[in-house]
Amino acid sequence: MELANIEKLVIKYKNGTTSLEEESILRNYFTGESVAAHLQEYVPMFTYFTFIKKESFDKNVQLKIEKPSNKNRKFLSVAASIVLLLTSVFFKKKRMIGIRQKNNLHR
Amino acid sequence: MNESDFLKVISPFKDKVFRLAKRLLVSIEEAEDATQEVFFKLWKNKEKISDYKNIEAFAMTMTKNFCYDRLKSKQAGNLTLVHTNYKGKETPLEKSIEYKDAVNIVHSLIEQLPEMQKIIIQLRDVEQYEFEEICDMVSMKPIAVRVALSRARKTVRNALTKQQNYGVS
Repeated sequence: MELANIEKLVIKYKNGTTSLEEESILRNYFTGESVAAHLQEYVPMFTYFTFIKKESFDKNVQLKIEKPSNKNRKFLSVAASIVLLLTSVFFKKKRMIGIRQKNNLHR
Repeated sequence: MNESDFLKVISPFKDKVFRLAKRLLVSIEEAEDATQEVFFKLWKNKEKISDYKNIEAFAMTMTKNFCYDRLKSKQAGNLTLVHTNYKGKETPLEKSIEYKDAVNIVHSLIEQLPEMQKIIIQLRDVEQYEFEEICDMVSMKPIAVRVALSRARKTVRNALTKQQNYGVS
């Protein structure tokens, strides 16, 4: 592609009026070997656009999501009920011991 | 539509969703979460999918909206986004230092653009969507899209020219 043509396309590109085909001509030119000195600033731009497009989402898309917050809540509620159970057992025992001691005193 | 059909439908554009999310949310982890969330929502609404004219455009719009909401709640929580160099899973190790510099410089220049310009330059110059598709995704008129794109391109280009002229990196 002649330089004059590229220059025209660059102006269109800056104005946001190039078509996708014209943009691919520019991309090929600016990621190629010989770029005119006065257009050097477009090399990093088009290099970047091409590079960043290679990044991919390489995790599996999960369609059944167990929300971690719900899991935590479940765990918390189980833990809380265990604590409650233990304390009530503990206090009952204490009371029982207290009653027994009282009874012993009365004897 | 069963699970494997759905996964087949989304496979051509799941990377695009991820890249748009990363463009807006910066961090890889956040972008992965956003991608996951968008596809999960889409899957839950799968009965309506045949109605959508263009499921890809719909997914991109969802991604944009989801990321906007995330950004808003971040700002509310006084968390600021840290602008950093490009962080990818694959660093261009095999490439020259100039190549890496070019990628980093352009990346940080785009990060400084207003949100809408970021989205539009991503959709056009990276993902190569047609203008009509972009108008659909961002619900803007064609002229407004072209103006935003033109501003974004000029800003990046002018900054690069300055850097080259003064030899500042």
